[in-house]
Parts: sequence; C-alpha cells; structure tokens
Amino acid sequence: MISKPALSQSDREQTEGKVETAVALTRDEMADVSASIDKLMGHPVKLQYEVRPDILGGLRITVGDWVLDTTLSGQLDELKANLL
Amino acid sequence: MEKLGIEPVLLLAQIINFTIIVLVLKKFLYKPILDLLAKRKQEIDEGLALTQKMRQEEEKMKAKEAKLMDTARKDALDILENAKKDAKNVSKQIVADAHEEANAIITKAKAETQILEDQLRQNLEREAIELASVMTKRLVGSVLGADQQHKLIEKHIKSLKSL
Repeated sequence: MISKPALSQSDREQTEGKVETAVALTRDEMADVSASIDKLMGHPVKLQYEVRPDILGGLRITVGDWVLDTTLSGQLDELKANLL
Repeated sequence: MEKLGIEPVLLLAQIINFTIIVLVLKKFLYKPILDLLAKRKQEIDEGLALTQKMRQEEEKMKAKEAKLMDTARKDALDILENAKKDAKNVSKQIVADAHEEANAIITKAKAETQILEDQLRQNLEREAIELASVMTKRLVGSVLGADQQHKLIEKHIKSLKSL
C-alpha cells in the first residue's frame, strides 16, 4: 500500500527521475509509471529505467530528494531495522 | 703485830703502794677498757638497731615488691585481656571486611556477567536477524519468477496511479 508522498517545492520542480526494478519493465508498465509520475509532479518528468536484481522485487522511484521505495529489499531492510 | 711478823710501816707502805696501783690502774687501764666496752656496746646496739631497721626496710621492700608484682600481674592480665579483645575485634572486622569485599566482588561479577550475557544475546539476535535477512533475500530472489515480479510491479503501479 502506497501512501500519498510529501513532495517539497524543490522535488516538484525536478524534470528528471529514476525508476529501479529487479526485472526490465514492459512498455506498458513504463508508460503507466511515467504517466503516474507526471500526474503526481504536475509536469512531464523524464525517467531513466534501471534493472537491479538486488532489489528483489517491486520498484523504487527517485525524483530529486523524493524516493518512493516499494522494493522487497527495502521492505526487508526496514523489517530488519525494526527488529534490531 | 710485830709478833705476827707484820711491819706496820711496811704494811702502810704496801697499802699506799696498792692504793697507788689501784688508782693508776683505774686511771689508765679500767677506764679505757670500760670506755671501749661502752663504745663496743654502743656499736653493737647501733648495729642491732641498723639490722632491725634493715629488716624492716627489707620487709617493706618485700611488701612493696609483692604489691608491685601483683599490680604488674594485674596490668599484664589486663593488657592480655585487652589484646585478646582487640584481636577478637580486629578478627571480626577482618572477617566483616572480607565478607563485604566478597559480596562486592560477587555483585560486580554478576553485573559484569549480566552485561556480557546481554551483549551476547544482542549480538546473537543481531546475527540471527542478519542471517535471516540474507537468507530471506536469497530465497525471495530465487523464488520470484518474472511473472510474479511483473504482477508485483503492476500492483504497485496501480497504487501509484491512485495517488
């Protein structure tokens, strides 16, 4: 479940971002992600897609200082941090 | 007297001679002897008196010595008794200090053991969590196929769209 992000003015002014996934996204997935980010930022954002198997699953989107992390590795790291 | 063969003149002369001898003896022999005897008697008396005095002094000294010995014995006994009491008190104090020190050492050792135990438990928990995390990541990475990966991504994209 993704909660509505707290975006700063500086984040909203960013025109570039990065999407990391464990497997390569399909064209449709890329289009959906891009459209969602454009809508969220209020303007077109050029996204760079990167495949990183170490994130295990899910996706991590970074625009400026704002990061949306839904990766399994991120969730496992969060769980580990809570346990420690 | 003449019939008896006694010459009165001679008798008188002998009487006079005897008297003279008596007087001379008295003057030059008896008196010094008497004086010597008197002096000797006085010396003996003085000696006896001195002896008596010495005996009395000796008795006094003996009594004083006995009293001193008695006092010294009592003092020695008191000192010994006090020394015993002091030794007993010191012994008690040493034992009490030893107990206190031993308790302090035990308490410190327990505290250190507890700290060590806590540290070991924390380290063990940390290592267990680290191991579980690594193993889970390996397991998830090997279990999730491409279809499941895309399903997961699409699920997140759907949530992203709803923001």
